[in-house]
Amino acid sequence: MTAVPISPVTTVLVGNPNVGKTTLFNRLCGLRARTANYPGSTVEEHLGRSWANDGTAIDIVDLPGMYGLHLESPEARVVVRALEGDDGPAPDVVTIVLDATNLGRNLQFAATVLRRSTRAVVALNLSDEASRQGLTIDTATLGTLLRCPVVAISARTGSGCLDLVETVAGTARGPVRLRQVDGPHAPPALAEPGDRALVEWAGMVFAACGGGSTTDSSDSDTFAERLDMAFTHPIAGLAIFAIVMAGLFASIYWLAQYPMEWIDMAFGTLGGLAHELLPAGFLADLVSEGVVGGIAGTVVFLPQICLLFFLLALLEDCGYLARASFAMDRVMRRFGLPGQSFIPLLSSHACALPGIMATRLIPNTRDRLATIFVAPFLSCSARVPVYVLVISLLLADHPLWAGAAFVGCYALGATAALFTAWILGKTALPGRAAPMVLELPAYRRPDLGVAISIAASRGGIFLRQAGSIILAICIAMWWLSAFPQVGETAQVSALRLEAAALVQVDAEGAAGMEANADRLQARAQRAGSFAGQLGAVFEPAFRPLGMDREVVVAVLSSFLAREVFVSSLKVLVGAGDDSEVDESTMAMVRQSTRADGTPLLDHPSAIALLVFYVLALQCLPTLAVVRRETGSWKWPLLQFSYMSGLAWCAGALAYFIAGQF
Amino acid sequence: MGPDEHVCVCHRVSLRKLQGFLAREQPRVPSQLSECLGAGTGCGWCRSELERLWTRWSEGSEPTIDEDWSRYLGRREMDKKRKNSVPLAIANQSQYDGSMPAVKAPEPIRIPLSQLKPGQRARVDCTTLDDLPSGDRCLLAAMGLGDQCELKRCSGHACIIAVDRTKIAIGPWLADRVFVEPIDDPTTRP
Repeated sequence: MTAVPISPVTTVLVGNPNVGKTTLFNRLCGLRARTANYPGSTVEEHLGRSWANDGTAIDIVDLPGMYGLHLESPEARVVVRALEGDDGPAPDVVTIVLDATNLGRNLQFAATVLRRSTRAVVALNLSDEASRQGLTIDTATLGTLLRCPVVAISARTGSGCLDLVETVAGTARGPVRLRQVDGPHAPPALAEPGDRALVEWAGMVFAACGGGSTTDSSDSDTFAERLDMAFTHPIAGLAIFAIVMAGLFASIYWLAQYPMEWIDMAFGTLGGLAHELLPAGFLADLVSEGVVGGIAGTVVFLPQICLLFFLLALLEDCGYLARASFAMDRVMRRFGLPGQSFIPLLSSHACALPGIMATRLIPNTRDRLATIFVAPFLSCSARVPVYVLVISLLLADHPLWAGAAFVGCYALGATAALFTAWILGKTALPGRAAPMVLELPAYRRPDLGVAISIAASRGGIFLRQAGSIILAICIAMWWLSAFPQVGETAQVSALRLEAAALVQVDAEGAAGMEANADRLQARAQRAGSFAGQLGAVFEPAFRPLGMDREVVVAVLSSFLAREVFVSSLKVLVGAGDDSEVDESTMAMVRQSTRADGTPLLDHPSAIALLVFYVLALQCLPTLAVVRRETGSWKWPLLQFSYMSGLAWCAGALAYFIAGQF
Repeated sequence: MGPDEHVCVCHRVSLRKLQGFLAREQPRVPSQLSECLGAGTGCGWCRSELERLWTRWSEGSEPTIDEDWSRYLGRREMDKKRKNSVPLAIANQSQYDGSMPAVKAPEPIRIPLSQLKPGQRARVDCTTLDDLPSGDRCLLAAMGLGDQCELKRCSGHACIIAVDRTKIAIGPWLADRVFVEPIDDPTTRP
């Protein structure tokens, strides 16, 4: 085949929620976007590329699923803008994805999209499922009636997908389709999904293409109905939900620990290697301590993030999450939040950013603001490093209690979020949550490929962040702690001299003295550096929380991105201590002591630190996203001051109470 | 009961409308309240409530109903269950005592979705959705709850309905406000 440069064809995927649009997108573009089992969870556009046989590139945009172009929802606006080409060139071809098992409603939606499009292809998804249910749909007749090509596909198995790509490429090059305005089979003009005329038209088309009568799902699916009954039951439903979530987090905790150990070891080796290979001095210190040390503290949590998203994707895909959010509606409503806020809040457990962006699927502005405001309270994965570090300091030899403490942190965050939502309903955002309507997707076997792709893409986003903002902060922190260089103190010089004198007689004792001198020198360096000076300035403010100057420095450094705390602490306590470069972070912090020899973090101050990190809003990207989503600085500033204030008060209280025992 | 909640559930006549009618038209007998959008001429259950409302008003006190609306609907449902061997409209017709105008034809019985029994089938009457916020109404229609569509309530505590092949879960607030006509009530079947 000769390589003829052909300009790429652009197409958009539109359809009702839960028709398998995103699965199709993943199938066509090599696994890049999320599956939407909840209306609008693909509220962001996802772009991918596929190729036809003749080499034509096809750029595919996955648009959010929604029920009608006329609806006043954010998704509908996104789709209309994309179809009209308001934000760029209009797509060459519109690919309408329909659920073959639910054509009655899907055809109504297709009619309204076809009214607007000159080039369109209908992808009849789940056609394998339809034929299993005894539905045979004549795609040729359907194509004639809709006046556009119809391809029967199954996004799950991949059958028909190659055909679809060819059809899209062919349609882009082919003639413009004639929009049908009259005639016996023309869809009624101006009617919207749900209107009587359009319902009748859809029924007529469905009958004409051999759909026949469908077996009523509600009669045959007694098992699914029983599951629904259990999952949405006011007591049993919540109990099941609690068990599922406990299992989810427990498995993340257990499964992730092995890859975490490997990553920790690998970075330790890498740091040591950098130190050996590079000439001793500034560069070696920068690479081994600033860069490798800093990144290791962050990347080590990659397995947990990937696992969380993988398991959430499985739950979403099998249809459980929609039921859970309906069951949660009853609870959320008490605190003035709608059931729809459950998914954004659950996503916030991974990261507040996707959570806040997912609030776009909440149609009511008041409910959206309330959800955005409380979302950062939920323990995101960036807090996990701090939890792991502090809990393993506190309860090193009690894995069961450590697990309970972990759950406690999540519970504290969730409680603070609900409490804040309740307060908001009484003060800044009066009113109650908008009523709940939610489609419950059919139970399906989850698609592992889609789940893996979601985990991979979320992991990629996390790594990119680790490679940019976090790396920059790590290097800055390292520089702040390494400069200005403090000269040898008199005590250290004396020790070194003594060691040199002793080295012939007692080599072991001399080495011990040398090590002691190193430690003293490192402490002097910490106190004298810029970071130490900064810590000294802010130390009084954090004294009620029992924090030492070094911890204060780490806390300050993490005000922009909380995951920096662990790596900052590692850089701070590890600075100048060559012998411990490849030790794990936890051991290093555990062995660190204050100037007076007491542990750097004793029990009360560790508990206070934990409480502080559960509640504080230490994330610059979150503030930026809240600013973007709410359109003013009022909300992010209010949020920041409220959360920081609450965190400080609760931390001080925890320190005081823990100090009594 | 709030001013926008319905005293006459069949014809969706709100308390506010009735209060306005009383103040404006100064009815001499309670049956005149039926001129307010046909209040009391559906299933007839609310006639006693309308009479009580009129009595309060004629005695010079505020014409209100202290009962919570959901409790009010529950009481209505209970009364209907008690009489479930006879179709309600006819049962009420036979008890007609002259204080209200006669029901001309058996009006279809409309009940909120929340009152539909599990397994029961019903038909949505689009005109009953007019009181909902337009966004909710359009969304329900586009999700499949269009005019005259048939639905079935699934078993279970939560209000989950099956329309065609779609299952839609509806929160309690909305389920109290979407009215449907039951098609075949298993309890009234001979």
